[in-house]
Order: sequence, then structure tokens, then C-alpha cells
Amino acid sequence: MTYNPLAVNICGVDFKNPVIAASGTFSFGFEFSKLFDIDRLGGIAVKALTREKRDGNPGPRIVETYGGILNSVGLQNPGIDVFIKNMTPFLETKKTVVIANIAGSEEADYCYMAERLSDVGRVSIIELNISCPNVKKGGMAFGIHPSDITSITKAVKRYSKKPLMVKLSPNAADIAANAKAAEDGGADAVSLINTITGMAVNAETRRPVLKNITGGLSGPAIKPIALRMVWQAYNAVKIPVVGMGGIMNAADAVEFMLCGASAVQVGTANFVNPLNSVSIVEGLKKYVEKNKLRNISDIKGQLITD
Amino acid sequence: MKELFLNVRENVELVKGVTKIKFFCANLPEFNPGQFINLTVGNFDGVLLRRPISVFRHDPAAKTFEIVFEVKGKGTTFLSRLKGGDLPATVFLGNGFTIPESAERVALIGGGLGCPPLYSVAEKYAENGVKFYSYLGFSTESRVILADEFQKVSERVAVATDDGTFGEKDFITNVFKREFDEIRPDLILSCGPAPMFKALKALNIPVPTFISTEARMGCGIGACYVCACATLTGNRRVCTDGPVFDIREVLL
Repeated sequence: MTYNPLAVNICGVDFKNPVIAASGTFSFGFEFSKLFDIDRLGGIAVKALTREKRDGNPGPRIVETYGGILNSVGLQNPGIDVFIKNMTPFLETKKTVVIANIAGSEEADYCYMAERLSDVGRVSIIELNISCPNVKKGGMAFGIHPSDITSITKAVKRYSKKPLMVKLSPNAADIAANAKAAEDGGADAVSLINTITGMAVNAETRRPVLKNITGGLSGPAIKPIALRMVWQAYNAVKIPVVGMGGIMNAADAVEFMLCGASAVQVGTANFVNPLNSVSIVEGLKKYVEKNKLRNISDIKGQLITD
Repeated sequence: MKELFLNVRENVELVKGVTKIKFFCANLPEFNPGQFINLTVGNFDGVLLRRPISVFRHDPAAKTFEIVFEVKGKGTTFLSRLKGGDLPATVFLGNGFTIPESAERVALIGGGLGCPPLYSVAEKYAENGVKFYSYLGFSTESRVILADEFQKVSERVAVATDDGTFGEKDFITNVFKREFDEIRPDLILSCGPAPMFKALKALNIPVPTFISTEARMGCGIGACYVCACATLTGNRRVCTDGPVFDIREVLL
């Protein structure tokens, strides 16, 4: 077997490359698998799961803004039982790493789901979503203050037999403190950033464009903020940092890795072109060859600041 | 569905503010009338999302199809100015309309830019002997599109405008109601704005009725759950569970 220069290991889990489809943009992989072989991706973070089925918010739930999109889906998903029963058989046929993203209204919801998913063989990592800005109860509320982050991470860690990756919100006073708070709670990795709370307004109708009024902003518009936060988080913790926020191409992915990301997640770019995530994998291959790197992780945190 | 490059072959303004584009692609997948495409509308210059647009006409032999859309914002303005070239798109998406073998007389109820996808149904099934009765509603004369095209595939075409500048001055659902006993359709297909669907539902006609709905979309392929259609069984995805739903299921 030849050496794979894109292979990375994050909290004990082997990824064939550092490109992961971001939660909420890729469903459970089935739809995209009709357009390309999703095993070409390092991993997929599935749509956020909740204890019970959720219908999400009323529409419109998306609007385009300059260089970005605002969404207010509100965690619509079939619930964890349907995921385990109906979605995992499809995922069994794939080899890409599966990251289960979980969201809840209460600490007990997170613990319950972590325990359930601990017995699901196909799930390699649990991503603790304490950063969804589109739900009235729970979600981001757990992810703003460092003490809350430590406390929920600690609680869920007790129920999880899988590595726990805490997905951080950018709607925070001090992202370094929040990343550290996750690490203190026993997180095996952190991923950031989730979307930034925003609004779009129609001047003619004088109404918000989203029915939910506010939504989460993603896309290239937020990349500078995401890069800054990944850099700050990387310098604050020893656990791996998975970076995301407006990654559209391989150069963007490299920028995140230079800022300290061990791997990246690609979200909005999947809407721009459904093949973008695999294009990023191909672009990283070229980057490694061009720069004569032994492994892509050689650039991790190698931002030159002098 | 496939991710393809579509070659722009024709780009014409049907009436002011409404554009028709003909695309060619050598390897188009199967098409079911009522399906749509999700089309790139920029060069990443601040415009990110693709635009979901339904198919008006499909010619499998020529490997072409056409779309008709209103020029409304940045994305559709970009499309309306295209002279040629290739555009990435995901093709063809959604369930489309189902025409049962037993259907003999089909009423098409279109409102404004909802008319084009209904044409794709008549174009395909009129050849098989299905009779179409087309009811097309528009706001005003300057917005009337495709009436001549529908004439070629329909037993009858009725046009109404809100202001009476073309055809009858009435809502098209009222015209349809008046003629219902005469045409006796065994299937009703509709596409148009929500108020038209409400009026159609209020007619309470005991004939299977299917409507093609619309919503802002993220991915267009069923993965993001952005395009919700509120139904009796909860929010369903317009892009993959629809866009065509039984009118009884949709909460209007």
C-alpha cells in the first residue's frame, strides 16, 4: 500500500483526507452519493440529530446575502431512532468516517443521544452541537459561557464511548476561553465555527426575509472571522481543532490548516456546487505535491507571523 | 440526477421581464415533466446559491430543454444576459407530475410563471392521446406568456387577467369552475402562486389534484432541509419529496 499524504488522525480516528462534509449541508450522505462517491471524502458530519423528530422553523428558511447565506432551518431531522434504524444501513455500505452531530434542548437529551450512539458501530465521533442559533430552547444557549461548555461536555463525556468533538459557536465573547472550556470538560476535539447569528431585511416590505427573523450566516463572508477564531482556539488548547467557515476551495482549506486546523469541514460550498468537497480533496493533493510535503498535516499551525 | 454543464443555445425575452433560455447537453438524464434544475447564476462574485427553475420544454432527440423565468434579482439578471457558454447545474430534480394510465382528460391550471412546467406535461402526454384543458391566469396583458404554445397541445385554452386587459377579467380558478361540468377532467394539475392554490382548494372539486409548489432552496437535492413545504404530515422537502404534492396534503 502506498503512503497517503492526505491521511490524518483526529482523536484516534483515521481519516483518508482532512475534508469533512459539514453537518446540516449533507444530510446523511445519501443524496450526494448519487452525484459522486462520498468515500472520496475524509468524513461526513451528519445532519444534527435530536432525541425526537423535529420539523424545524416555518419558511422561508434561507436567504442569500453578499458572499454568504443565512439559514433558519431549526434542526429539522427525523430523530435519532430513525437515524439508527433507517440511515445507518446506508452508511454501513460506505467507508468514509461518520461523525454524528447531536443537538438538544436539555443536557439530558445530549447524554441520552451520546449513550445511544456509543453503540452504533458506524459512528466514529460524536459532534456536540452547542452552537445552533436557530432554536428557541437549548442549542447555542449551552455554548456561550465557558462554565456551561465545561459542564455539558463533562456530562456528555460520561455517557459517550466515542470521541467527543465539541462544535463551538462564534457568537462568543472569547473563543479561546470557550475552546479551553471544552478541553477542560474532557472534549477530544473542538470544531468551529458554527454560523454567526444574522438578519436580512427587505426595504420594500419592511419585513425580515426569514420567517424566523434571525438566522445563521455561513459562506465566504464569514471566513475571516472563522480563520481568526480557529487560530485563537488552536493556540489555547492541546486537543485537535477542526476548522470551518466559508471554505470554498483547497486554498481556503490550507489557510485553515495553517491557522491550526487538523481537518476542515465544508458546508455552504456544497450548495454552490455539489462536487466542491471532492474538488477540495483534489486541490489538497496538488498542494501537497507542489509543496513537496510528506503529509498535509505538516502545515498544521505553521502560520508565519514574524 | 446528474451534475452537468449546460450549453446556452438560445436566450430570448418572451415579454418584458420574462426570459426563455434553451440549453443543450449531450448526456441529459431521464426527464419527468414537472421536474426542475438547480442552476449556477454567477461566478462566485457574492452570489452563492444556485437557482431552482422548472423545465418548460424538453426535446430528448435534440438533447435540449428550455426554461422560462422572471428576471427578478441578481441571479436571474445574470441568466437573462447570457449569450452562450456553459453553466454548471444539477439536472433534473424533484418528483415531477405523475399521469396515471387511466387519465384521459387533464385540466392544467397555471398562474403566471407557474405555466411553463405545466406545458412540459402536455407536450409529453398529448401525443399519447391525453386531452388537455389549459387555464392560464396572469396579472395583466403584458405578462401573458406561452398561450400560443398551450394552444398546440390543448383541446381548449382559457386565459384570464386580473385587470381584464387580455382574456377574461377574472381569476382563472373561477373560469375553470364555470367550465368544469363541460370538460369533466379526471385529473387536475396546477402550478402558480399560493393564493391560486388556496382558491383551487376552496373549489372542493372531487377530482385528484396535484400542485407544484415553490420554496427558497439551499442544495436542491434533499440534503439541507431548507425548502420546507408544510403538510399534514409535517414539513416536507420541496426539492425531493416534491415539488409536486397532492393538494389535500399541503397546508395552504
